[in-house]
Amino acid sequence: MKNSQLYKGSLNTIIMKLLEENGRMYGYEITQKVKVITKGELNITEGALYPALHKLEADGLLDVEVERVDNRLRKYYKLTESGEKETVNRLNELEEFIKNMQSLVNPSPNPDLQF
Amino acid sequence: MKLDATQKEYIRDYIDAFDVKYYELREEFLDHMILRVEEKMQYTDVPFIRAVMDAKEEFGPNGFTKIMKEREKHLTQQYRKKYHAILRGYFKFPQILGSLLFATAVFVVSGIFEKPIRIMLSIVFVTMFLAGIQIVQSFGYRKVNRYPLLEMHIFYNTFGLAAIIPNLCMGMTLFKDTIDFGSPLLMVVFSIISTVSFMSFLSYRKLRKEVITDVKRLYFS
Repeated sequence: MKNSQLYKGSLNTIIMKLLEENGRMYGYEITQKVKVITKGELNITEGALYPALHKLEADGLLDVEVERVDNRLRKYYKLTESGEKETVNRLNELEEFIKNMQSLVNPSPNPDLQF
Repeated sequence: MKLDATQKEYIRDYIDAFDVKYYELREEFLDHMILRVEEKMQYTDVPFIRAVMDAKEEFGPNGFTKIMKEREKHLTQQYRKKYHAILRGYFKFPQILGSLLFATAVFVVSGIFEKPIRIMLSIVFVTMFLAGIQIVQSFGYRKVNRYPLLEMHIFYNTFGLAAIIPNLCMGMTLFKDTIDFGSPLLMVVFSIISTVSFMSFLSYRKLRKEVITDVKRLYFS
């Protein structure tokens, strides 16, 4: 990943968006999915992913399911009802943020502000 | 490529060496590490031991411990929030009517006795007894395969004693000779304290039920 700091504040929203699209996912699956979607540009480290998942779970935005796979437990995360609503809010916020950033980075000439 | 049983056992022992003491976190790390190592060995020539170490590095320095501490913190916050929400519920309409009825009953019944200390003490000790039974009943859900469950550990650390200590303190206060049980104001205060204490116990009981149901669904079904 080129600059992890730029993505840090959006990690929870990224996770929630993926769960909204895929229903339920386990930790490793999330890291792989992000890698594939961003063509390897964004690499979510486990040290950042699990605290984020556990925090979202504690906030009641995620629910967990456990399944036995190959004689070991696999923990799946999925959005709760309030998590689904929160995802919509956060995605709107993120879109607004991206729009503002684009305006700042690439300002279009505004005749009203010209001196 | 799939790892064999010996290699999986090696990863299990490797995680144990970092003192990951809770069952659910240990299992989550194990699943992740196995998948990561399998992927690494599938697409590169990295030997098994190196692949395990690389997979661990992805968790960062002190990664397991850091995640464990954060999980403890989040769960404690989650349970406190739920407990206070349940307790507050007893002082909101319509449940407050039941709480007021309980406080009035304690006050009225205390007045019947020549020594009201008896009714107060009965409430204190019945509450403590019930809280004790609840704790004993949950013992079976505290561990899986010798490893403690984080949910149960945090629940008892946060609320186990909270259900008993206030009652114990009140019980000891009631034994003081200097207390004038003839004073109506004092009786009102004791009735309120008894009610809050009993409602705290009911909140603890409700939260415990929620936690056990969750733990049973995830790890004992």
